[in-house]
Amino acid sequence: MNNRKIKLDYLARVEGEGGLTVRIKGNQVVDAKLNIFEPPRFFEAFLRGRSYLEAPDITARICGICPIAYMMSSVQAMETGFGYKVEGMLRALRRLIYFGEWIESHALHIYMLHAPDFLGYQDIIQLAGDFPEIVERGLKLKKLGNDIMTLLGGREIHPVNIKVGGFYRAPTKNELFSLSERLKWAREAALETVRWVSSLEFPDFEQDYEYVALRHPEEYAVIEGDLVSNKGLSFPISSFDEYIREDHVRHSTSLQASIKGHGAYCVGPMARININFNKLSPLAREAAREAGFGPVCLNPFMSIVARAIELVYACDESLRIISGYQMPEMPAIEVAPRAAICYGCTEAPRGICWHRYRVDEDGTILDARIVPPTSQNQRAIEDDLLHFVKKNISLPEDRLTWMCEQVVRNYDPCISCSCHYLKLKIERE
Amino acid sequence: MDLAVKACGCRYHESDGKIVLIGVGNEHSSDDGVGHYIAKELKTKNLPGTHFEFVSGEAASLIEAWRGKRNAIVFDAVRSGAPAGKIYRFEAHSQSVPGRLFNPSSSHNLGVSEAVELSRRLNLLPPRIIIYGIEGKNFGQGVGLSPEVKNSARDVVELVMREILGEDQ
Repeated sequence: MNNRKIKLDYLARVEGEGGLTVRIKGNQVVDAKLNIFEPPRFFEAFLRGRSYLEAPDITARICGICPIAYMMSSVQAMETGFGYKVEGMLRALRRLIYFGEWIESHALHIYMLHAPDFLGYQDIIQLAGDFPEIVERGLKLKKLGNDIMTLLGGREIHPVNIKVGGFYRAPTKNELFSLSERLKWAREAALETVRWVSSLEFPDFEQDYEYVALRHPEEYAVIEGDLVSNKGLSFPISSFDEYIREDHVRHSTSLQASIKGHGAYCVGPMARININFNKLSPLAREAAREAGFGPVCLNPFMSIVARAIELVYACDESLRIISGYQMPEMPAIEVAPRAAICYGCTEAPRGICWHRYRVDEDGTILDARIVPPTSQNQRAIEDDLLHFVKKNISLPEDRLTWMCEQVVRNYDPCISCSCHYLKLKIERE
Repeated sequence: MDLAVKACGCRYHESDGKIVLIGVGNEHSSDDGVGHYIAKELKTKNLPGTHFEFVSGEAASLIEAWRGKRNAIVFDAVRSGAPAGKIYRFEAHSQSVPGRLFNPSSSHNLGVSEAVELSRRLNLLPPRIIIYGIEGKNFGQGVGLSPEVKNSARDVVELVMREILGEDQ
């Protein structure tokens, strides 16, 4: 029997530290594991005994790429748990800063991390040698995302202007309008991005995914909604534990989530567009149709197109918010704590970021649980690897290894969030 | 002063246009704030023809900070395992900057060395760009520099002042 072992110790262009092992016995793939050895960082324990007011700033430190997701899920949890709702312009500003994070994160992943895979380059620096205009476009898009975060959040990494109840300071109308021209450019650049990435060559690979995303009756859900799957599940975020379980596995320091009785599921841009296609703006829907994407798409390699479509949506919706903006009288509503179980869930660039806090009557956090997107996607990544290697087992070793890395990067995994680098190891026995 | 690379002694002239001095890092992560500290100190000296930028170190923002400039000097913290306060100096317009020294804010992101190489490929690198790296000791939460790092920061301020004023020759 031909037993082989392929080992790749370091997978670049992902966030965090981990590895990946695929074992092949003869012509059978026997196992595929995402090995996450990033040390767990105990954020949930740090939160115990701290004030509810500190939750957004503490949880923001979980990730340098998607701090807004953590801040928004935590403030939503506290406000909802204490019986408050942030509405009007403050709510619109929350969506706007979230779109800043989406633009920044999606531009980073599309241009700098994922596109080199499709075009056969090791990294964006090599890519820039042959496609300077494209890389410049990506950099400018990313910079705009950074600047939206800085304007609304005080700084681009780990913003400091978000609080329970709203913001410490709301931007003036002129400050927001200053973004308009660049956002108009960005919307066109995002449409160009969709055209460009949809022309890439995608492997013929589809899986019968269960996609999970937030759904909101009136908008493409980002900061609020119920949880919905494409296989018929629909439940409020407070029922997360009734449907989702998290398990320890030996090969990962991150918990692995699955749907009870169903198994692996996917969150992120693919899930969002598959579930909420009709809530995209007409421009984003049209861009998707032109790209041949959706309303249903089951090819994970096309996640780069999904991100580009969401870039269009994020720019389009940001412009809509800015054009209707009136500076609120107060930058935040008053919020008083009460004893409560508080639930929050928002759409991080990589998928739903779920929080649960138990808070006493003084607002002290008694315990906390956070389920980030990457821990939810881990099983789907392992399943994809298993099936992809099965289908492509005859590929030469170096090509197969390259493609396996790409399978992982389809999910833009953020291991920092799930517990922090990723290494790939294929073992053939 | 432990200088890994000796200053080259080049002068900056008015004809070169403004010099952008860029402080990189996070002042709230102790020694990671040394880049901002140096740039702020230099700002108080009212040096002729200087312009200041303060950034986190994320590549897109860094490239924007030196885009179109003829002269740039960048200050950032380094985490290489060398003794705290060690000063590195790179003439990035003519040499590569080791990525192992300058950590991006996130492993997912691109930092100083990637921004330099990307700019070189895109013809966005200033004709003259100097990168100073100062080895940090404590990168934990908090404001303020370790004594060794602060001493080296002051040395860099003196060095850069001499370089800008042309007194190093």
